[in-house]
This record gives sequence, C-alpha cells and structure tokens, in this order.
Amino acid sequence: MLTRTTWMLSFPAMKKLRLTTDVVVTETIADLGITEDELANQFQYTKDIVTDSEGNLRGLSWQGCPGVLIYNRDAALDVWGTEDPEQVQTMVASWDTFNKSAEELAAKGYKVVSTVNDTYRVYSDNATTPWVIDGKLNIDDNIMKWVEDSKALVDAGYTDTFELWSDDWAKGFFPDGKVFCYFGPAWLINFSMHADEEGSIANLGRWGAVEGPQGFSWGGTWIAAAKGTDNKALVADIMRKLTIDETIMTDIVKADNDFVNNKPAMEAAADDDSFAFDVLGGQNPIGMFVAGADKIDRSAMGDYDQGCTEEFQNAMKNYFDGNATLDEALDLFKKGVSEKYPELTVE
Amino acid sequence: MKNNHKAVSYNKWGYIFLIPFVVVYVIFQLIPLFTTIYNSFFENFMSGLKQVGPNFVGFQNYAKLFSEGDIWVYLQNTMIMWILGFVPQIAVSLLLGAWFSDTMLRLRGQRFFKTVIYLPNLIMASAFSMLFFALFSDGGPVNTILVSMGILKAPYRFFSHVWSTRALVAFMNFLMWFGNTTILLMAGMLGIDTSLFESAEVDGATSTQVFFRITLPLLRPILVYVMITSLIGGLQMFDVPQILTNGTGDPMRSSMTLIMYLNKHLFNKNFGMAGALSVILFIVTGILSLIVFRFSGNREKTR
Repeated sequence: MLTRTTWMLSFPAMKKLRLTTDVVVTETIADLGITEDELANQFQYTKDIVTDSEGNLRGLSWQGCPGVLIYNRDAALDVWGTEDPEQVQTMVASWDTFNKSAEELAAKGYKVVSTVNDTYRVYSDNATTPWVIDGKLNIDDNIMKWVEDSKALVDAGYTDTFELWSDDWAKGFFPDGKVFCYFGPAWLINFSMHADEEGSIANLGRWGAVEGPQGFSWGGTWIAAAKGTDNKALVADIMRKLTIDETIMTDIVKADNDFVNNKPAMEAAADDDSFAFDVLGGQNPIGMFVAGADKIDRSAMGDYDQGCTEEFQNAMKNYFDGNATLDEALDLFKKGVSEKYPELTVE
Repeated sequence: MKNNHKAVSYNKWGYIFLIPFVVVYVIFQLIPLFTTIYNSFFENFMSGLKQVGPNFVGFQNYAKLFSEGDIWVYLQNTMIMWILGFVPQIAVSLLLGAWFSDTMLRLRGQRFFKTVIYLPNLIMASAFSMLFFALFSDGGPVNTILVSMGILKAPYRFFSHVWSTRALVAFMNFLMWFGNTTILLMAGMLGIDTSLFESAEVDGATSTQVFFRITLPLLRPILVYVMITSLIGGLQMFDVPQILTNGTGDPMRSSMTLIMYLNKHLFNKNFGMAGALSVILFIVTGILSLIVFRFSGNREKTR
C-alpha cells in the first residue's frame, strides 16, 4: 500500500510520517530493498527530513522544493525599466532593499507581494530554532522579524493580509491584480498560478525568477510504504521509477516545469536550453533551484510546525489589521497553541 | 376477565410501536449524553499520532475552563450574534405571518412567497457562508460595486472589523431562519378562531389593535416554542461563523461561538475538554430555556 503525503498546503505529511520512533506508521526504505547507493543522486535534505531518530530512512521524494522569488516582468519593466533577472535581483537582494523597493512599486500602483503570508515561508524556513524546545513553546527571531517587516509593509499600504490560497491572494496571478512578486518553488509556478488559463501571467510567460532576499524551501511530496504492506516489491518499484529513474524524472521537468530530486541530472539540465520554463518566458531557473536545494537545512523542523504556523499566521493577522497590539496577538497565538497541544508549556 | 385480557394485548402493541423510537433515542441521544459526561472527567487527547490518556482527572477540565474564563466571552459572542439575528427574525416573521393569515387581505401568490422565503433554509449553511465569504471578501463583488458607485473610497474589510463580521453572521442566520419561523407563526395564527377577528371588526377595532390585543396573546404558546427552539439553535451556532471566519472567529475571536471553541478542542481529539464544555453548554441551555419558559406567561401552568 502506498501513502501519498504532501505538505504543499499545510504539513500533514510530516505529522503522518512522525519522525520520532514512538509511533511508527511506515516501513523503512532499507526494508523495501532499496540501498543507499541507489539514492546517491538525491538531494540530502529530502532524505534528512524523513530520517527518524534512529537513522532509518522512511520515505522518498521525487521533488526538490527550493523556492525562488517569482516576479512580474511587466511590473519590473514599468517601475525600473528592465525585466532582466540580474538587474531585478539587485532590487530585492536583501530584506532592506526588498522593503525599499516596495515603496517604489507602490508609487506605480503595484503591491510588492499579494499578502504578508507570501513572505512567511521565506522567513520561517530560515529560522534556526524549532517551534518547541523541551516541551516549551519558542518563537524564532527570524519569525519575529517577519512580524516586524510585515507590519511595516501593511501599515504603509504596500501589501495586504489575505490568507494564502484565497481568491484575493490569487488575483495577482493575472496582470490586473497588480502584484509584483510571489515566493515559491517550481510546483507553485506551474501548478498553482493558473498557467492553463488564458490571460494569466503564467500563460503569457511573463513571470521571471530570481533568488530573492533569502533562499528557502516550501513543501514537497514523499512516497512512503504503509507499515505492514504486503506489496513491498510493488512499492519499491514505484519508488525506483519515480525517485531514481533519470529518464522519467527529466521527463517530468520537461513536461510540467517541475524540479526533481536528482542532482546530477538537474545540474546537466541547468545549462540545457531545452529545459527552459514557458511560464518564465523561456528562462531556465534550474541552476538557481540546484543551488537552492543544496543549501536547504530543515533541521529546525518539528512535529508542531503545522499547528504553530497556522495559529501564528491567524493571530498575527489581528495585529497587522490593527485589531490587536503585538502582545495581545502573541497571547492569542499562545492560547491557540495550548488548545491544540495541551501538553506544551506556552509561557 | 375476558375484557382485561384484551386490554393487555393492546398494550403490547403500544410498546412494540414505541421500540423504534426508544432504540434510536437510547443509541443516538441517551448513551452519547452519558458518555459525554463520563469523558469530561478524563485527560484524553492525541498529540500527533501519540495517544495521551485517558487518565482520570476529576473536575480538572472544568476547573481549567472556568479559570481561563474565555468560555464566558464566547457565550457572550454567541448570545450577541443570536439576538442580532433573532430580533429582526421574529419581527419580520410576525408581520409576514399576520399578512399571510389575514383573510381580509387575501394576498395573491401566497404559496409562491411562502416557498421563496423558506428557500434560504434549504441551502446548506456551509455553502451559504462560502457564498457570503466570496461576496463580502476584500476584493469581492460587494466591495467592487460599492467602490464603483462611489459610496466607498477603498474596499471595506468586512471580516477585519468586529461588528461587520458579527452583523454578517446575524444577517445570514436571519435569512436562513425567518421563513421557517413565519410558517410556524402562521400555523399558530390560522389556529385562532376567526369569529374573534370578526367580532373585533364589528366592534370597530383597527388592525393594529387586533394584532396586539387578539393575535399576540393567543399566539403565546407558539411564540414560546419558537423562542426556545431558536435559543437552543442559537447557542449551538457553529457552521455559519466557522466557515465565514475560517475557524478563527476573528477579529480577535470576537465572533467565536461556544461550539467553535469546542471544535478547537477536537483538532487533537481532546474529548476531555470538549466533553466538559458540552456539559456546561447543556446546563446553560437548560437554565436559559427555563427562564424563557417562566417569563413567557406560562406561570399559571407551572404554578
């Protein structure tokens, strides 16, 4: 039996796989007969995430999910007179320049991002401490920096507080939405930005990709074998085909503009023009993805990420909207966490 | 002797016909009621895939609910949104009921209108709130229309303000339930002896006098029934605010109802806390229903 788990939208996957060995719901990859040598081409971070506390690998991914800043080429042309990725990168190279550019964009009627929640993953993925340390709730400094920067952006009217995946959030996928950029990995550009819909920026091929202020990763899909499966050979075969077979994996990239978990193949594709992304107007971002994937470090990831992230974003929306002070919003966050995880100390 | 025997066999059929109701009632009402009370004395939840408990903790869950004190805030939110919706609901329903049942008016197309006002109740509450969420979102059609007509300069964030969110919840509950209330009240009004209206007319009473002196007093039993069922429904308000605020009860939980709070405890299957909250809700509902019953002119009967 296969368990398909994805945390594109939230993080149910990590909850289900459960990295501690207290509750085991998946077979180890070694038990399926797949050796470590076969997995040599995969990015290390994709293996670290699904390695349990005893060092057993418990899932495999075909995807690499390093994120980039995806900018609206027409907006860049309108504001700075250039749509060249190298030039645009200088405008968003750090959070300071990013926030300064927000002002210039606003002067021409563009929102720098659709909502503050767009930048959340970039900050949170660069957090160095987990949400919970020894049963006690902890808020990383980088996440507090997100709060500070976001509040400034909202107060200045440079962006909004919509939830991700809402209709308001998605308006910027079209030229009339007047949004400068989104942050996301390959799957966001192709699957989520209405590439099939005529008139969308993705359909017109008018997005561009740059590294942005900080590297980050978002989401990913792992294949795992449910504990006690009687189809080990079949599961191992599917895993080999999707996560190891180079022909199949490069086909995925060519057909769907995705980024796959095979480092040598992707390094070769980075210099190959036949891998250019239509949605990015013929730009080939694979080199950027390879560099990003090498740097991904998810060691601060933990069991409580999903619940804490949700509660934090919901609570901070009140602060950004002016309905609460920062302290009130933080108290609301702690209250929400203690409801979801009564075993944690929140003070 | 023979007669006696016959009576017993009739009784037997009575009991047999009662069985389906009793079985369904015991399985789906009585047993859950007692297991809820039982569960409320245990620490029992899931952390991820790890089961914690069940450990007997006595009244600790209740103590926690009362010491945090949030429960009264959520009760207050629930009552505010219920009253905001119930007052216009009962007023409009009385008016419509009086018009529909008035034989002098002889309204045309009564059946059509009765169907139309009942229609909102047929839509699923969740679908209805999704619709309202889309209509009133920051970039939704309502804001677009108001801005393009020049009434608003910038879109109004309906879900970022306390009273606009509460008012929308109340308005939706009003829309969904006024048809149902109208039909109940109309049934009550049609049950009033028409000779009373005729004699009032002969005596020269105005229609306002007829309504307040004859219709309302005689409608009292139905009104009390409507009040109590609506109160119980109001205390259990959940789906509309839950979907409209995406489960957050924002801004700052000012539109969070008691059942939404209960639902928060079900994220981790916390049956202990959820059970304790349910028991409190059960007691509060009972007390409020008694108060309504007492103050609605049923003193003679209860005495």
